[in-house]
Amino acid sequence: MGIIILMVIASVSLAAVFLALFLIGAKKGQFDEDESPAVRMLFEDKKLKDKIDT
Amino acid sequence: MVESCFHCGQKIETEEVLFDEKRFCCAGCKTVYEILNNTGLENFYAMNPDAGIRPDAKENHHFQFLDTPEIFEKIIDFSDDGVTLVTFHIPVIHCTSCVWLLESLQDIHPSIIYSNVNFTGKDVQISYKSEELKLSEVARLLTQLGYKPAVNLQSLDKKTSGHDRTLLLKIGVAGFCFGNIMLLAFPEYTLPFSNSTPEAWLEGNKGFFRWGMFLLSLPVMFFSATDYFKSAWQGIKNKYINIDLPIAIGFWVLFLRSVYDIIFDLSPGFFDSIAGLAFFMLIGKWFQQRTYKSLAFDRDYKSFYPIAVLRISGETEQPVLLSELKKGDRILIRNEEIIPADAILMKGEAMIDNSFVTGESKLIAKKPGDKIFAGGKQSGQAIELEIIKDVQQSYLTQLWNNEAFQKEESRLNKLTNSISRYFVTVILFISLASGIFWYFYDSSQVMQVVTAILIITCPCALALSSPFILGNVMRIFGEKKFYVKSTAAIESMAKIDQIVFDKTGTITESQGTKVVYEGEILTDMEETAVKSVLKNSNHPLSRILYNQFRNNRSFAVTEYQEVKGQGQRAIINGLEVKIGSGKFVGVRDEPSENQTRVYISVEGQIHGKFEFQNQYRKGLKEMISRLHSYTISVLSGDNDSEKLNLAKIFPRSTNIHFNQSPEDKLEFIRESQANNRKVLMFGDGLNDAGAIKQSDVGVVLSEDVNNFSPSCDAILDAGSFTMFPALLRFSKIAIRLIWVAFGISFLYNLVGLSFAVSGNLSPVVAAILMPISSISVVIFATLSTRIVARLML
Repeated sequence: MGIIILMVIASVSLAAVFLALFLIGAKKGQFDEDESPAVRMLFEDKKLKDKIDT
Repeated sequence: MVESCFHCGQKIETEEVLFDEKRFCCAGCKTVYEILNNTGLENFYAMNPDAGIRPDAKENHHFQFLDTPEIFEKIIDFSDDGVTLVTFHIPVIHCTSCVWLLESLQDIHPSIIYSNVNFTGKDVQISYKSEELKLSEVARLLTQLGYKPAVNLQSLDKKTSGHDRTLLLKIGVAGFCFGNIMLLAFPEYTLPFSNSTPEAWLEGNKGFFRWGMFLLSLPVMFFSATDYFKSAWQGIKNKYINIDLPIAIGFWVLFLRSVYDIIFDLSPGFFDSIAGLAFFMLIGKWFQQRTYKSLAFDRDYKSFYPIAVLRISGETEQPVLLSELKKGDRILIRNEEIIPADAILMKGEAMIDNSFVTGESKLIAKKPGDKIFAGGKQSGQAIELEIIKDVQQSYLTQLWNNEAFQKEESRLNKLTNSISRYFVTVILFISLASGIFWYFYDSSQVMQVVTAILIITCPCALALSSPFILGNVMRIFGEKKFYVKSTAAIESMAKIDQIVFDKTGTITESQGTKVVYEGEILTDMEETAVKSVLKNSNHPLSRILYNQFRNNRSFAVTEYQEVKGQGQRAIINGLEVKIGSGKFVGVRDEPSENQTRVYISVEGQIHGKFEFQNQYRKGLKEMISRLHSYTISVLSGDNDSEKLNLAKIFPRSTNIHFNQSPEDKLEFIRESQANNRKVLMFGDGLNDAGAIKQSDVGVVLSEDVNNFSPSCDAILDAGSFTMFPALLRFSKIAIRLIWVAFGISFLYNLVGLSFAVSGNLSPVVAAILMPISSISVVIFATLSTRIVARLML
């Protein structure tokens, strides 16, 4: 049963890693605006498009 | 005993300054007190004792840079004819005393005209006489009072992202801690359900789980929930109670009790409740913020007012909506039209009336090359401008909501404010009383009861109902092309019982109006001359006539004059041209049959007249029939030629008056109001501006025209004209929805309170229910308005 303690520690640490990623992403401004990224991905990459066209 | 400074309330440590039998901590505080005293503003202390902010002693030359022309231009909103308008961001604004003091600046310094505070944005907009006071001196005055403006040069170029990311970080941390604390709390949760005797292993390892929970609760208490603590503390310092106080007390009571319990092995503590409380409440706050932001975004960027300005491209002029105007466009602004964006005068004599911005209606002459600010109104001939700054709808909205044009304060706002104030005191009292009761009855329940009470009761739902519902209604109105000035206007709309219609331009439309000319045939030159005069006016009849002429040339016009409701005159190539009613032009005998007529005379010689066939808007009759629950009146500046036609459209009980001057219209409204009626004036903003201002709700109909009247409460796009009755009905229903929301929030509190007091509510459940109550009110507000809108509009 003592294994539970190890498991708890392991899962909390894993969660902590995700938390850290979230905090870093938030600090870098990733979550500031959630409307334009959805639209931005529909734009064609201009350089790539030129390459394909020529 | 350490004394506190009379002004800022902080402890007097190093030196003590004595003045007027009061003690101050520094010369700064004493100076502010002196200023307030001399200008009779001692009320500052009556409102919130110790509300003062200790001013910074140093930095006296800090603001010189504000006076350099380049920076001055960038930072100010408006500067003309000795009056300058500037907006300063003041981060230390924190309470009602601050607002009061900052809005009393004109009493402190004679050169300041008025000041307006935006509490949520922590901005103050100051209007001052720039010939008597320098911008740096204004900044210095603010600093002296303790309100140092934050002037960041970088923020001048782009709007600061101002992204408050800390809320997101706090939610992340709270969520992490909440989940993991629940994980650790599980073993002891399952204890009551296990069949076997308490597991020995669990007994031995309780410490790990309990202290683990304690560790995970630390980030919550000292990072995530700190906003509530800071706000409650501010409230206490300034001796006023706010809603965050019971919440803060709840947190600390739970935390301290939990620590006590696990040290003395009484229970596993309530750390899960603490973390859950923080997590759910922060989510509620975030949700609230997002909705406010999207409402503001809609207002500023998506629903532009349906005001069109004539854009000049080459030889032609086209009406173009404000949203399509760009920097560099050339526009034509006619008599009585408002300049929509900062521009440079290119051609014409400009006489600008800045009353919309400064409140003073003085005419200022401008020459070509001068800069004219947004919000100014042209008085005289048409002028050509080149736009140098994009249209800022938010700035126009700000001007529209200027104090000078406020009509009646929102009754609902006052109600929610007074309820909130008493609410918290009552709650604290109830929790104290219940705590004492349970202490004697069954002391094991005290913790649960007291904390449950503090957490479950929330007046926030109350405070949220009105702004959310009305804000949503405003947004829906905007989607239907009905632009309301503010939420208070919606409240007024719901109360009206009389509607007054203006005739020309409101219930009649310019397209499709037939015009018949009778008289001497005009030469090409005469036609061009007439057209040149008409060009300067935005009166509906002028516009109709203007579009009748085909040629595009025009002559220069001097001494242009438009007499409202009568006609226009100007001098072209030395000849006096008059266009207007028979009386204005000097017609001796008019035909007895009445008709809408416009005469033309050159040098006193009457050349002929134009007769207009009134074209009523489509669907007018049907729309009027749907307004049967209101008293209707029609005021027309025209003669009674349309009497029979109007009788066919309007119900018999309608009051129809003809030959009304702008003053007559105003008088009519005033009389109706004296008879205890709430009047809505529906006009085109031109010759009924006074009546629109006087009425309880003034609605201006806009059709490809620039007729923004600052005292109006709403602008309706001509395309949505027939929706008018539905819009009025919607506003009535919106008020009813607000009362329902109030009811729901009261019910919540009542039910929650009864469960809490009887000891049947565990803090975890309370923690989950409390933010749910706020979120549910917001959802109710949003959904109900959407559903009603879909059904009705």
